[in-house]
Amino acid sequence: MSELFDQFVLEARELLDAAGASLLRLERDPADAGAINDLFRALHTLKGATGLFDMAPFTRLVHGGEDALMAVREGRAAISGDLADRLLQLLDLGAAWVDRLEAERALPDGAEAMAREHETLLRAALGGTDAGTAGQDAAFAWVDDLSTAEGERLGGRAVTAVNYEPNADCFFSGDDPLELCRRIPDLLLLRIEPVEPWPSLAELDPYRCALRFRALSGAAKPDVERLFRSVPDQVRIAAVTVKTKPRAAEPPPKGGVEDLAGAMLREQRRILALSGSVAEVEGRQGAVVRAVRNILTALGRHGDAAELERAAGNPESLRGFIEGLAGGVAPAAPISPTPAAPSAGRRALRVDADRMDRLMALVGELVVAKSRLPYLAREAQEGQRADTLALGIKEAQGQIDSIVAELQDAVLRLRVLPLSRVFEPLPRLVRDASRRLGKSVELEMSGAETEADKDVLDILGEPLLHLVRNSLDHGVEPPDARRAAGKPEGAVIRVRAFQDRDGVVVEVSDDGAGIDAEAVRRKAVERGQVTVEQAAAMEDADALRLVFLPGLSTAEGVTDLSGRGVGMDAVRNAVEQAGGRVEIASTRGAGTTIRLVLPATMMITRVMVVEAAGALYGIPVTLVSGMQRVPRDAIRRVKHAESVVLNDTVLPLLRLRRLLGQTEEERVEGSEAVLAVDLGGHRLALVVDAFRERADVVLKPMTGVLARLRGYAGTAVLGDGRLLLVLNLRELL
Amino acid sequence: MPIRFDGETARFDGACTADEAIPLAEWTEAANAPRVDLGACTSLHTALLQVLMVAHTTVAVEPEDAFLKAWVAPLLRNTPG
Repeated sequence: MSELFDQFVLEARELLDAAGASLLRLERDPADAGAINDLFRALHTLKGATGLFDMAPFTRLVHGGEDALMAVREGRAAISGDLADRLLQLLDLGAAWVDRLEAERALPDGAEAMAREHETLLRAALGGTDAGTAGQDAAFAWVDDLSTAEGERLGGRAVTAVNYEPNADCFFSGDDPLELCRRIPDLLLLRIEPVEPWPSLAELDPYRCALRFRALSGAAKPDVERLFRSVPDQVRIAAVTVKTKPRAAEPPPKGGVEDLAGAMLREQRRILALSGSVAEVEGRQGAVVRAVRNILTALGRHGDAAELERAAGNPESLRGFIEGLAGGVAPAAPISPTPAAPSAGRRALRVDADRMDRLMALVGELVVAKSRLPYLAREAQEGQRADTLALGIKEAQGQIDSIVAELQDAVLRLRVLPLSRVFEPLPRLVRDASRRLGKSVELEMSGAETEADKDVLDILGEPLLHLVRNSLDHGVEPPDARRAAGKPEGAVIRVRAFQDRDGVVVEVSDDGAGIDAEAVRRKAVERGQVTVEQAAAMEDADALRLVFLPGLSTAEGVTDLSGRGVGMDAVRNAVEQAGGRVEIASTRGAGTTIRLVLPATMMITRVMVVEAAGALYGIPVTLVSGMQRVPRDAIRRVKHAESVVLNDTVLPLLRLRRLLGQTEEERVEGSEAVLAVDLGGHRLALVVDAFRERADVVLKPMTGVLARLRGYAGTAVLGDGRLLLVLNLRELL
Repeated sequence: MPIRFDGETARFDGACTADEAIPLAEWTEAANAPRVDLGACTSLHTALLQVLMVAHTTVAVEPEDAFLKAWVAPLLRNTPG
């Protein structure tokens, strides 16, 4: 039960996400048949999944959404902004319920009332155009064109009309439309027609359904709808009245109890054939045995019921038994499993089977390589010559080394996921916000397939939302302002991701108003973050970087979106904590681009190793923008503050020894090793004793008492076994 | 075997599933004037029905099953043509 339930939680989330994405597509292009089908399928599957558990309100909620979509698909309602709002709210509520279910295994109190309220709201959004009397509906015009005999038989009766156009590939999902029609209650008329003119026999593909069905039933519409609930997308049902004079109606042909039982047994057989985890299969098996027992009891076949109990223990014999009961009836074709959603679950890590296989293969190789060691140990014990032994050990080491390296890579690969995960919430965000702000904004995303470590993605999510929100709120101007500026009314926000030498780059750019560097300077001075002189001396590009300082926002008003001056600061912190950096560029009137550069993986950090006072220190390479030797006399000194010109820019100069509280060597001659460091907000030059190599290290955070030493990001062990302290420059300064 | 091919006549017995669609199509193609005996047929898969319709199969023996007799058999011409 629990495993099935966990699976449900996971799937429900994916389905809700998929439904949300399809809904946005549909809203953008109401004629997008693919979108409405995807949406339908997601909701339908979700409804089915909720039905497995005792959560009627959830089923009801999703069913409400399905009904509304049906109206849209049948052209009875248009997908309006309001309707989309309502449907999105419904999906949100669904997501909240899934969270709740996961935490407490139960829906919140009053869920039923909430579901009902959503139903009502949806119906209101549909504009009350819910059809019921489809007499005039063109799709049911055939009801008025019945042959005289049929008309005489049925004339004047209020009946339920069915237009059933099975999907061409419906046989593959186990549907048998003719059998379904057989089960229409109180069937008065059934017409079976080819959808298109018949091809020649040689061209006919027997496994593609080429027939459509039109039926009249004396039963009430809901009863007929219940029968077709598994194919709501392929059927239209309406209450109609048949014209012309009545005459005695011929008794409708009856499908006997036996037929119904047969169909039910076949369904049980299909359920047994479904794949799934052990717990799921066992759960289904139990349900099937119960269902079959009831069917047999209803038929009065008590002997068979006893047989069932004997067969119930073993899945194979159970299947054989049911098959025998159902008259050897098997579904036409293997049931195609519902295609897995491409998106990965939010909390569970979905691993590509290939990657898992590679890992298994490597572990196998490692086991083989390892088996060489006991053999070498025995040789050593038996007094084998040292050089022969050394050769053997080196060989084994080489082998194990290469496997371990591959293994490490394979493990890292397991954690690598596409960025589409963090892109997913953006369309919805842009849609909702632009609607609320009355701006027309197009979101263009590219590079969603770029891959990065799972931890990097987790860190990237929030900042990315912040940046897009910022663009929407402050970047993009209101439509009239855009018109006045001679720009197209519809703004564009581009989110681009790509792999770079440094790692993963995510860029958010808009074609909005841009940032006023002058206003940023003023604001920073007002808040006392820089002096008037400092501000005046700043290049525009540097002034723009001030927006990353805490509490600085140039937004005039605080909206519910952003503008509280916490966003950019939080973005910078999150990204830098992950070993990345933030860049900004903006042109007044033309737009703003913000670029997040993150390491592709977090487990491995590339550091620049430097020496100071005889010890080694690491600085994340992402922060280092250059290194060079600078003649001592090029360093200018005003009181205690030093500065240096690097690449035509004046940078404040700091000495690592001094920052670390070490004594300084007093040299007058020669040159200094200077690193140009970019800390997002500001750039500076850092004097070290010597440059060493670059190294890829696995960074271990400081623990225990040492965790309070905020100047260090962590420790790492270098290839030769020496310990490296990796600096957290921002804290150190 | 729910469908038995007996020269120009295919005899349907019990519940005939989509599994039979390919053999049935091959048989109808080979036969001159294919005829079906639906007497003992209790259920006919849609895939089979469309093969019979395309091949202009005629009914040699009417089905006893009420549903098939009322709605399906009339679709298959009763006289060769």
